[in-house]
Amino acid sequence: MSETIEVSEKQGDSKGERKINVVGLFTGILTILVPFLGAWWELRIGEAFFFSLNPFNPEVILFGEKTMIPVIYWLGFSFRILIVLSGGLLILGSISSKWWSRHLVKFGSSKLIWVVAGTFISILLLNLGIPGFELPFKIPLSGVSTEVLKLENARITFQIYSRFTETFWIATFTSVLGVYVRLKSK
Amino acid sequence: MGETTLKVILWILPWLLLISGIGYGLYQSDGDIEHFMIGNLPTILQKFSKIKISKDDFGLKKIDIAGKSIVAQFYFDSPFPFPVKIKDILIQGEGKKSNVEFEIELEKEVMIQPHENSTLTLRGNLPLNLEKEEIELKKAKIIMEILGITIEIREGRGAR
Repeated sequence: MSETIEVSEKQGDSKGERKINVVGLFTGILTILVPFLGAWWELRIGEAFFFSLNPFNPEVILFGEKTMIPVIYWLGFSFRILIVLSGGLLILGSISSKWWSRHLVKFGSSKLIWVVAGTFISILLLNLGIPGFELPFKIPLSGVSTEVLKLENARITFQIYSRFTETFWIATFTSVLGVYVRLKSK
Repeated sequence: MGETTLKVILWILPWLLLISGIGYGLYQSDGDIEHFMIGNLPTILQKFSKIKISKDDFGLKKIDIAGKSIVAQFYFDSPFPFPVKIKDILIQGEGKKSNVEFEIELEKEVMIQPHENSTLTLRGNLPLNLEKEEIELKKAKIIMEILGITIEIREGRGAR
């Protein structure tokens, strides 16, 4: 894949040369889009519990009631601004050939990978169990499982359904591209 | 602006955004740290922890014995704020003297809307010699589905 396109441009009276980092530009556009593509991972327990894991706007519906935890909402909001900004700076760095371009590319290309890694580790912890918060059933990373809880005179049966959405794979792809762009910018 | 200044700005920027976001969120919550950290979660949990099933919610309304046929009607006042599907009720009993067993079962699945009162009809057959004998209920099993979760409760002697 051709990574750069050389474009001649007139800058005042002097003829300058600008290199466009196409992969960086493409990654920047994808990075800006990722926070608006919805949930990354979904977990459903019967119809009683629904968890839509979106690092920018997570959603929990418990017994049909939507929960609202301000600290999580505002953290997600901050992440959204950060990722949009990093995408914007990545684009700016990719289309310019100034002394600061390399710094903007380095900044913009490396933020999403942390969000992807953090989200994946969170999902993994839910699957493996957090020490001290062990659940009496196992949450699958992806797929459907039927769980049976046996109490004294009662038996509770429910299905747990989880899946990675297309958005997670788009975010992963974008973050890998970001790492590639960062390594190339050195 | 020098290269070092830019590097410092880019290093500070993510932290500044996160701290500003959280700070603004806390301001929006009127500085109430407890509400900021847990939101409406306690309200929702409290609402559902108040659900209590008492003995008065379920009971025998009427029992008709005609020949070998037995029809029992039970009332159920749903304490749940969501629909409940009663999938099956099975009650086993026996004649006190003869120890002859019989059973009655819910005739069809019943969907009960939130806080609705419903009548559940159970039917069964009695062995002929039980018609005039005092009967005793031994075991009961109820299977219900609440929000996609199936709960099976067994009560009585030998219930498993």
